[in-house]
Amino acid sequence: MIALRLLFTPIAFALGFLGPLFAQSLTALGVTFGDLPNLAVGLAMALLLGGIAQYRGGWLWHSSKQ
Amino acid sequence: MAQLEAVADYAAMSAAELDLVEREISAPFLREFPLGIVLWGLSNAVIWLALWPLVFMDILPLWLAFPIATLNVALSYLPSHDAQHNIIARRGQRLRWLNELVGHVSVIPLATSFRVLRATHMEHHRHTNDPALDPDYDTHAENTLDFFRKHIGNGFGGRYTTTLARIGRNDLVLEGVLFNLGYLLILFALAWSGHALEAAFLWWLPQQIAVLWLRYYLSWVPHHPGTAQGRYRDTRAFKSLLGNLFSGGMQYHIVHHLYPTIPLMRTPAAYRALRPILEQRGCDLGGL
Repeated sequence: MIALRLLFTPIAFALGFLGPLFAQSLTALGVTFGDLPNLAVGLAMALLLGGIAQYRGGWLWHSSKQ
Repeated sequence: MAQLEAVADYAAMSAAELDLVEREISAPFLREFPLGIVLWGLSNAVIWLALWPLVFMDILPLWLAFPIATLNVALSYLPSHDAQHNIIARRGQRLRWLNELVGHVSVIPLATSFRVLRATHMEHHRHTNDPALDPDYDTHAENTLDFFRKHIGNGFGGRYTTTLARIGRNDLVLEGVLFNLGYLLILFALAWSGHALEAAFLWWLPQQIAVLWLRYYLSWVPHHPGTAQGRYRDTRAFKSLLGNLFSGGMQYHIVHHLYPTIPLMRTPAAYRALRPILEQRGCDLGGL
């Protein structure tokens, strides 16, 4: 049950979807960050956004808890 | 002129007479077989499903598939809505299977359970604009800007789980969770297998855009300001800047709440026929 709840958190969405999405977007756009693999950059970006969303309770300027 | 005379006649009628005339006018529109919505629902889902192999095999570029997918997801709800009201066929009728097929298949692009939508939508009809009981009450907003501020990024049915629990349909709570879980896991699997862009532009982003459009035109606009309850007060007609087509046929939503078994595609004609009576009833017709 706890695992199921975790799957629906912003952090899980960031790791499961947004990270690879950002990484593949960077690759498609030909953007690189030195020796850093794009997947690492994508995951870092996604985790930052997911962490903020987790803390605020919503992805954008509003809170889904309202 | 004829319409003016009709309005004058209606003004002289008692409430019971008005009810009778209203029912007589609406009767021919009820439960007409909605062939258009059947074809719409099934073909729309097939087109959306076909986008995936077309994009994966590089037959269709993703930039072109994205707007088509967005249109598909946006168009996926309304055929299911007719099926929710058993308009295609009622229980026990020969084509009942088709009603259920359209209901289930048409909402595949929305990644939402038809049975959950049906159960919660019936509660919306029972309790329209009731702050405690209307499952769609959370779409209420002061104005368009307020609506978008509240709803960009929010998915379907924030109150559906509590509604289903209240009516004792815990089986549908589970079904809703499984649908959401399935959707998430498919997105994750696609993303981690190198197809995140396809998942984003064929499903996730189209769904975000479509749900926002659906919530705006199917829920917020036709019920705004959403403060009144009662048969002739809880919905309204309105003139959409985008026309009836791009507002999902919702300009005539008042007809749907009065007679939920009139097919979506017949609501404009039914509205025109019922308009003098609705005017007499003091309904908000929004200049339509």
